[in-house]
Amino acid sequence: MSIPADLQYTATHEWLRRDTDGVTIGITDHAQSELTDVVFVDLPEVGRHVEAGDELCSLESVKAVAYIYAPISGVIAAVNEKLRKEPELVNKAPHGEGWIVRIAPDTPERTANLLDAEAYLAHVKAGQSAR
Amino acid sequence: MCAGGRGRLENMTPIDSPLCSIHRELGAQLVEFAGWRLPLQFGSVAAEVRACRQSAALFDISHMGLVRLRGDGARTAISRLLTRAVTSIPLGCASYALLLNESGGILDDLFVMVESDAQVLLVVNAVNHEKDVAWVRQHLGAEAGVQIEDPRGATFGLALQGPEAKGMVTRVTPGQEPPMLFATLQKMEIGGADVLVSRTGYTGEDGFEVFGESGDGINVWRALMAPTGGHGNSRPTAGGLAARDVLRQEMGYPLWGNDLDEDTTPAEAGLQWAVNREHEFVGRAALEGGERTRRRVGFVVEGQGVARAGDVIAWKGEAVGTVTSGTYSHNLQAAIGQGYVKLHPELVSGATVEIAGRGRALPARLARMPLIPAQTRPSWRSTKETTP
Repeated sequence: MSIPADLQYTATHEWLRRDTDGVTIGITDHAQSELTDVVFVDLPEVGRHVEAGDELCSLESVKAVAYIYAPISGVIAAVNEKLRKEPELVNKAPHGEGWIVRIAPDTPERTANLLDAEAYLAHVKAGQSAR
Repeated sequence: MCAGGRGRLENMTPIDSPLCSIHRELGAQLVEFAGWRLPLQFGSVAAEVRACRQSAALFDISHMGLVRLRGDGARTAISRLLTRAVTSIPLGCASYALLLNESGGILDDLFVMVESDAQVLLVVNAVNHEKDVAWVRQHLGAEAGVQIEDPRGATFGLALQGPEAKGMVTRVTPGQEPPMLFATLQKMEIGGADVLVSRTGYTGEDGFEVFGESGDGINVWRALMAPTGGHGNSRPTAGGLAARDVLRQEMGYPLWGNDLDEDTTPAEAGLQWAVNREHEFVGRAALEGGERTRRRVGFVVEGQGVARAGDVIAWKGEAVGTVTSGTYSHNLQAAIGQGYVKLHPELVSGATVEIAGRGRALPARLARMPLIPAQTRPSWRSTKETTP
């Protein structure tokens, strides 16, 4: 399971990468593995404003449907159009080519409730041992 | 991310499959299923499905329940509980059959295997194992000359499925003859272990199911995974429950708990072919008068999305049925599934319906099952069918 140190994470298994253009969001390697092969990504509309906690979009896998939530408030600046034809990128490169949306945040400062790689690893392990 | 639930997950502590240590070595994602801990996937579900259809895949099916009946009266006795006359199944042969309640509802669907004159094996769904044992004991427990054994937790099961399965089994069993026709059995030695090999499966491919004592499971897995000798050098791909579910849905095979339950009759489920009305069995009387009002159908989704169990099937603006299983088929490049619709002359293969759930509606087409042609061998019935 890959958990890159340069990303931030949510307890609901999204990752965030901040750069000057905004915040890129995807699902974690752990999440894609739990979900099994992604077969459809229902991408949101570019330009829509979302509040932290809103449902961003759904992912359909062989096994289940999963909902992704906005980890921060902002405007959807871009979606990964490649996923319409190649949803499997979410499985193959969850932290790279399989990114899902980019959000231009309302407030650029760091948000609470995000985990660093170490805390996210602990969170995943706690979830596994609870089984 | 929050995944929508699906399937039955029980709260009790699951039993580890006897092969769990191997699955962990291979990096499988393990899940709980019907009280067992089993691999969901080893890598990509699509790759596992493809391997099964194009070469071969090896599945852990140790959760499948085994119930053994011994004694001179075993075949006659168990016939009274099954929709197939076990007395007319030849020695060394097996048959798909249903266990019905008095109302004709499906308690379970299973394979009955006639191991010898005085030994019959039932291979039942894990989720129904305890219920089936109790039902068999309740009806046959007092029977003279019949012993009922429930080796739960003491056995393993493997399914080697795919066009190359036969070659792989042959390579690891030099000098032995595997069962040649669909639903025939052979006692064999694989990886130094005595096993029962049945030419059956749940994928629609040619293949084998292998049952033995749990302590031998790992050795048999390793032997089948590394077939040596001969000129072939391909080995099976490890497959998980997710791939197995896609494969069975491509074939339109029902899964008890999703597509079959105790309130569903064989006729509704399209399983009349597994009912042999020329013999007496529990539930038979109820099948006589019962008129079906719905039937099981397959479908292929024509939009972007996957139909799931519980979604509503609508036709001409009216709710006409319910989805009972749904997944995505990489072979058909479409979401597929099965469900029940009311009887109507126009609700047949080719009819366009809408499948609604979770705030959206998907166009779909009813389709004849199997959705992909079965590749199984001809059955022993094709040469030896006998009537009681």
